[in-house]
Amino acid sequence: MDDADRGSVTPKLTLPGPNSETAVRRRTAVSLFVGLLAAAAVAAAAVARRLLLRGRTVAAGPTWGCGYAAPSPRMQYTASSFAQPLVDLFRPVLRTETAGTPPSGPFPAPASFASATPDPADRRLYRPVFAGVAALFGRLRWVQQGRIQLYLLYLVATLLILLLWKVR
Amino acid sequence: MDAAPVLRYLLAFALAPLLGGVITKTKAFFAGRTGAPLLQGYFDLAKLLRKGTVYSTTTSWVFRAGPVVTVGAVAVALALVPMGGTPAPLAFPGDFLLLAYLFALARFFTIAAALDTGSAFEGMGASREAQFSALAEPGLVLCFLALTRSAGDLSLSVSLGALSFAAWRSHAAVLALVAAALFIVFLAENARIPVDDPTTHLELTMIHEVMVLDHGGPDLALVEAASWLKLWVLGALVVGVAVPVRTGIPALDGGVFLAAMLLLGVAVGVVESAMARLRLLRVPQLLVASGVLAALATALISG
Repeated sequence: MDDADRGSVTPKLTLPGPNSETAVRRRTAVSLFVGLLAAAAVAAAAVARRLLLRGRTVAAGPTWGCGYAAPSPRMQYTASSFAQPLVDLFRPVLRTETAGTPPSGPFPAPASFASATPDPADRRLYRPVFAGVAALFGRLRWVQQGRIQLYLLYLVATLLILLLWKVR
Repeated sequence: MDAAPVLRYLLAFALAPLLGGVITKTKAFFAGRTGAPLLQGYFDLAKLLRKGTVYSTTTSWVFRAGPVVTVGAVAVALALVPMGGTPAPLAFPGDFLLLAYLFALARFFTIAAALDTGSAFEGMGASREAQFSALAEPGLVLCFLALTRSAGDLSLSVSLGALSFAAWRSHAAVLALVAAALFIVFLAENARIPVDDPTTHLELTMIHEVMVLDHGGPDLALVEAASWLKLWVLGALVVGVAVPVRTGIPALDGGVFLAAMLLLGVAVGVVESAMARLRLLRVPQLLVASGVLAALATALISG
């Protein structure tokens, strides 16, 4: 649909044909405009903050620790902690594996905990499929002998078969 | 270009903190207190804008980009929302997807800024925010899908503008489902009860508040402004679906819209006074419910 027959369509349908030249140009213009607008809004906020903070104290201090004064990188939220709520929600699919010994008794011995969430697509789709493919083609290993004479024989045999097939 | 949409945009920009004031005032009324003044949101912004700031030594440019990008993205999102029948200043086919992704952008930078502080509290808040917003987003987009399908147009301004009370008579089920789903998303995305409690003072129970703990001064003002604007954007969508008054007189429609927004603030205040927040483990069920309602609406409109 090009722009000429747009008039015949009900005016409700504002999408001109997805690939007509005007449609593409309009989409590009809109994307560019909105992108620039967003960039301008962000820049305006950044400039406003810079102007506001000029001449005021901008101090550097420790991260808020709720009274705890010696946080270390080991206390950070890790990637798996960050993802845990969502990973837990998809537990039936993702099957997180956990290992370790929980603390027990009044004087607990050192405890440990480890968890891993292997990629289910990798584990249960790609690996089995490609292992199967590898096993299948492994059976054809005898074809590859590493001797040039044999490969020439394969070539000749293939050409001969093709020739016979064409002649038939 | 018509000036009315731009005027409404500016008015919404100016009035957004008032909506928060209405909510707190309603809650104060139910609690038998006088409560903070209606204009407390403006006072807070003015106070924060006068201050200096402290940056954690752990943080980098990511932390400084957080509030700026968040407020920029939400300010553009506000330009996509039609108010009271008048089209939005920015309207084009597919703009509802941009709206969803602008929110996602704002959220991404808020989360990144929270993680940048290295604080375990803020990491926890970021993690919860990521989970809940991932579950709220399908509901929002499916609501948009139902609305755009019912209007036969891919722009938010046209599809919300096409709504009227006649549409409520013919498509009551669909619109009721969409309005309910949008209201749940509205509460969840704006960190209100029953998903998050904006007045809690214990870090471990917070979601949104804990993510912005390390922001101060003008940065906190930007964060606050962004959350007022977001409250207004999603509120305008709820009101646009629930109260589609079309008298034909733009000023009257606008006035009704404004009154409905303030009523929505009262409704949020009533919800927050009447119920406690859900247990964190229950929140996903509520969010999935909003997605299901929206999916049902989409199915009804397609069938």
